Amino acid sequence: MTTRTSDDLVPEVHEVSADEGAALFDKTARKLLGIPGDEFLARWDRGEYTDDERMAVTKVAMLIPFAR
Amino acid sequence: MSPGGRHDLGKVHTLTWTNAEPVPVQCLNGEIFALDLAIQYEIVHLPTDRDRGPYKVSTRGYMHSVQTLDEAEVIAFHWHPGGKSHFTDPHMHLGSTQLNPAGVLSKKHHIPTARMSVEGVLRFSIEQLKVEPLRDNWSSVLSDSEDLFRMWATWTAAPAPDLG
Repeated sequence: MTTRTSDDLVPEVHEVSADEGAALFDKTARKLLGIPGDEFLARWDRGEYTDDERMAVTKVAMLIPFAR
Repeated sequence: MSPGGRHDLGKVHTLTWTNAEPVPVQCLNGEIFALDLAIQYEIVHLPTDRDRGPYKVSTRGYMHSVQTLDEAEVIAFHWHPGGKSHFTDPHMHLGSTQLNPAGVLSKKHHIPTARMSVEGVLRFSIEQLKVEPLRDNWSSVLSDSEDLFRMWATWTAAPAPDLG
């Protein structure tokens, strides 16, 4: 991915803190799947989401780097 | 951007919208969709690569989708080799709201695609779904950015097989 620094608008990218990331991950897991973020991670690590293609699962999984 | 996403090596990071919420976009006919973009990447140290180094950003996965405002998926472009799915190549899903219940395809089907760039998703949204762009020179902005992406991308159709 590239950015340009001429007259084009470059959106601000905010790198969240560890606490912000954990909160974001937890909030999204609760919103989309109804479970806390750490519960999702535990289930994920146990392989309970194997071949689970639900958009909500895929979305939360994409956000794992916010949590750990 | 997930913690450490600007500098930390040896770790997968995620870049997505603020609060990981899809962004509403308006079409020319007034219809409003929600656009969701998320990329997983890793900062790779290439000290001997004179062209791409000493550091490059390598995509490790993506999930881009167009949804209705009530979060029903219209179309989604995925690549998640690090996930739990057995389908590890780039692909798309059509939302169930777009499919005939009596048809062959379902939202679960993985429809193979080439690697999908963010620019490609935006161009698709503007050209095909008639999302209204915020700037007149949107096409050239996307082309310039995507040209750079394609110049440096190490694969476009599917990742090279792991022969190790």
